[in-house]
Amino acid sequence: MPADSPCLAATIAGEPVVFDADHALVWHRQLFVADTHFGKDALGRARDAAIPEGTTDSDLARLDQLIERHTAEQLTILGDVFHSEHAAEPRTLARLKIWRTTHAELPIRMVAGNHDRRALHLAEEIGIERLDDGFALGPWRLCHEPSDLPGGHVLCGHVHPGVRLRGTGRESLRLPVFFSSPGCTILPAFGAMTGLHILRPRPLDQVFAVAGDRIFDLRRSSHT
Amino acid sequence: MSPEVDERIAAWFAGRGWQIFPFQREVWDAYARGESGLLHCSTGAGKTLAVWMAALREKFSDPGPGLRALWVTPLRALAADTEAALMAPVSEMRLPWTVGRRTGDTSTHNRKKIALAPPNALVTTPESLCVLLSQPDFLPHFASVRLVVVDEWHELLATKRGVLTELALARVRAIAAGVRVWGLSATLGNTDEAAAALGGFLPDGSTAPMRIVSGAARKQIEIESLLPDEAQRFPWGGHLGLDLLPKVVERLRAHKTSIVFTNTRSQAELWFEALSRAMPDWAGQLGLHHGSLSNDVRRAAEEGLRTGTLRAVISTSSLDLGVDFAPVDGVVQIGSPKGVARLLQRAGRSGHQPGAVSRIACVPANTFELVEIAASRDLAEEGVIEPRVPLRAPLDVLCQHLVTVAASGGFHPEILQNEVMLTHAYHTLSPDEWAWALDFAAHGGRALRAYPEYARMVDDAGWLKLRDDATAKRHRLAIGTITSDASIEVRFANGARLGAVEESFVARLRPGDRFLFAGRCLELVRVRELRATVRASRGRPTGVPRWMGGRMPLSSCLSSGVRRRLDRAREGVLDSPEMERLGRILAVQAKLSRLPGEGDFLIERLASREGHHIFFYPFEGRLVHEGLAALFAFRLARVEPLTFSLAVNDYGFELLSAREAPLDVALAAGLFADDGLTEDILGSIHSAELAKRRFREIARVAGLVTEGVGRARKSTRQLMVSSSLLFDVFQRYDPENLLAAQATREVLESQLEQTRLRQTLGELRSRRCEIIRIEEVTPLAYPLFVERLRERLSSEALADRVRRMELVMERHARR
Repeated sequence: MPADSPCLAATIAGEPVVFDADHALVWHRQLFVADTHFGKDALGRARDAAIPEGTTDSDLARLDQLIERHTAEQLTILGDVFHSEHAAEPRTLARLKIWRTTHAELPIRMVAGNHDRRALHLAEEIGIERLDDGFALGPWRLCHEPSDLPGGHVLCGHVHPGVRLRGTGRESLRLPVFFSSPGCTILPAFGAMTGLHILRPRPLDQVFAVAGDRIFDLRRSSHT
Repeated sequence: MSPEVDERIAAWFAGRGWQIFPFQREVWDAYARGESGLLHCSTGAGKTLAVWMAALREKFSDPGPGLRALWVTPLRALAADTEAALMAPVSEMRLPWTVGRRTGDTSTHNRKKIALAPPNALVTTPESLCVLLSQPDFLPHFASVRLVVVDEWHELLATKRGVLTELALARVRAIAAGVRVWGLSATLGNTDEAAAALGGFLPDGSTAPMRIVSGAARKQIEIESLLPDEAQRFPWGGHLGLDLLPKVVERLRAHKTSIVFTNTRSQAELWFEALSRAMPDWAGQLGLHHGSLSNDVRRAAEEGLRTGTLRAVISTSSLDLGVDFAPVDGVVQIGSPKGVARLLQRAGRSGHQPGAVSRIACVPANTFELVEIAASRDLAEEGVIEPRVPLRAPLDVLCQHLVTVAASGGFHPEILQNEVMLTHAYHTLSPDEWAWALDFAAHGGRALRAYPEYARMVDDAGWLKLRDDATAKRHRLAIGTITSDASIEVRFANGARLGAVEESFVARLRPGDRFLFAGRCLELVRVRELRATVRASRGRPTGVPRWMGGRMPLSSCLSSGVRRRLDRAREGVLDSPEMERLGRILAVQAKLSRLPGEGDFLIERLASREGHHIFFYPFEGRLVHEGLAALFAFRLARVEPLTFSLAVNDYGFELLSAREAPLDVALAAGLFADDGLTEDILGSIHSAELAKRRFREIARVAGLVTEGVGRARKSTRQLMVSSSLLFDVFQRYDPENLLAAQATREVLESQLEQTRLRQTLGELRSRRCEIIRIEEVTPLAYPLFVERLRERLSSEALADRVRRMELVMERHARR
């Protein structure tokens, strides 16, 4: 991997994975993201909040780059693909459908998140295959929410994980992270309209933080 | 005016044992001649009757049906008192006038009654007035209005609510030909400007004439400090000054009835608790009053003051205004009042008997507040009072107004533009700004151009109307400019409401935790949705809710008074009890470092375990210091990549960094320079993220996001979009949005006081700059040194910062 790459190779659950600073995890040409929350901007507009358009386009463009960068053979979204049924708003839906046709050959799959409940019909309409929660894939179990499901290492989203860093001079910083505990790895939220939930790691947790277009193994750097 | 009417009025005054003041006659005559104006006086009563009697005289025993007078009051809590004050002469002289009130608290039933048959005089708030102006059915009622009174205009003047009032007045003037507008105000440093803002402009472009009437002569005011005993340790930076509790108790016992003013709601809670503990014999005779308490709790305190059944009420600025409480004979101010006008207003809450002296005893919260008290006494004696500067063209308020007018049945854009530009606030509105606001209000602006179904307005042959009733209804719920953070209602299990606290406070609590609120120790039972259920607890509270935005900055009048006092102290003049008492600490400051004179600019540098500190002391007030701190940090960080944490108070500010900052290089490169100031401030606030916070309020006022009310509110919260996230989205995807530009402008002008900042920089250049390396924290530095609430500013690459920093881990994690 070149030095200025936005990626970091690491091992979780004994498996070689790559963390991409664009909030994606890559394993054997399989791309994983979580919490895209498509339609959140549309929900805002429906509630008279004049939220600009453009967030959906930019999120889809980021997915394009990820697919290309990692020559992905499959994309899996770990829940909360849609923010609500407002993703069915005609323009948003049309965009998602067109985007899907530009990757017609790529299998795209999802596990259902709590936000997807009333929008699941959209997955079918767009052409996203639905997996059961806890779907077993090689060493992984694919879920939306963190759990200690046996029989594999859980990959999930839901939490929108972030951590706080402290420096001297009372400096502090909040960053989105991949949060990996024994048995479970939580991906950072992918969508542009999402916030952060701050977690405090315990000694056995691994934390890979996204700082702009770089990614850092925080536990390793703070131990050296 | 018939002489018979004036005789009856004179008889009524005499019957109450009052005399008619010359200023009251002056208002009556001016009103009778058709004039509008502003009546101001520093303290004392008689303002209400001056304007009310003017309206009564005109149609004394024959008001006829319909609305004749509108009475706009800034606080809905005052509406009931005002209604009673207007009713008193009417019922005692048996006049056929009817008086009513319409505020956010008015029941649906009464709202309907008022809409069908409005009273002759209606007491209302700026927000409720706008709601009435948005109702097509009510609009015709405005045609008969002859007088609009804006009470406590000084309170509204420098705020967006003042702008909302100006816009509403322009509407009323357009509907009711010949209406007269009278403002009632405390005396300000800029009374003429206050009158001009209320009057606006005439269609020919000239300033509307306003008669300025000065009220009764100044009441005598005594300002003193409660000083600690000589032997007592005096806190350098402590926030509370509870050390002086025994002195306050002593003072309260000497008064018949007192108001104890604090500067923040948390302080009010803490002092109420401390005083209750210190005076068990006064159980049931102490009251608490602040803006987050429920109406019932506040009313009980007001009633207790009015009837004298309470001996003392601990209050925030929520009791600054309003009808006088006759029994109050003493006022205690906890902490510096931070401004001369506020001090005078609070002092004026006592001593209402004719010829009585208003007394205020100030309790310093830390050592240096003694200087502020001495300085405010100097200024009060000299008659120097702060101005309040009206706002210019806030586009968020304009957007809201456009929707209001559209809801009332629609408007023709050109006609409304002319009407809006008659106001003081929008007189210089540019055609571009107007066009942008109109497009935004009507269609959601650029962001929503592609979404015609979200347009709020429809064009009906050049006439812009709201698209449907649901939109109008939603808008009426959202009218107003006061923003509060998401708040959680606090209730007992039996349903009794105590008030509201901020969501962020409750979020930190767990069931079983105890906190101080509404003057009681409460135990949290559970939080469900937007309601916290509590029960009374006997234990010691572990927390007091903090409400945002509690801190008032030192006024620029007072800060110059403070510098003058310190300068004289340097020359050994300590000619007030406060300064005498300070002598020892000022000597410590002089020994460890320097005592800055009026012509000096003191800078102290200190290396500690926490890093490298630079303390700057311009003595210009918190707001200017916030701007200066961000600016200096930005300019220092331009010399070399650095990250600063900033602490600010009214006397100075601190920049703290992990490595030593290149101060000398930066000074040589023009740290205080005027060149590139605006760009540098903008650069620095982007990092400091002030604009993001401002944006929340602006977004809501403009209707960019609606917070919703009641059940609707819950669903809006599902959006869970923070203002900072929204600001980012706008910056990226709608860069031409003028509301984002307004957020920046508001930060520049009102938050950072750019104009004052520029003046301050000029002055700093002329002062003698003294840089002292200190070994120990000095008395001036101490409050900054211990300040935990900090801004940050960085010019380092994010990656470099991450490498330097440490991850915050779970505290007791052991596996």
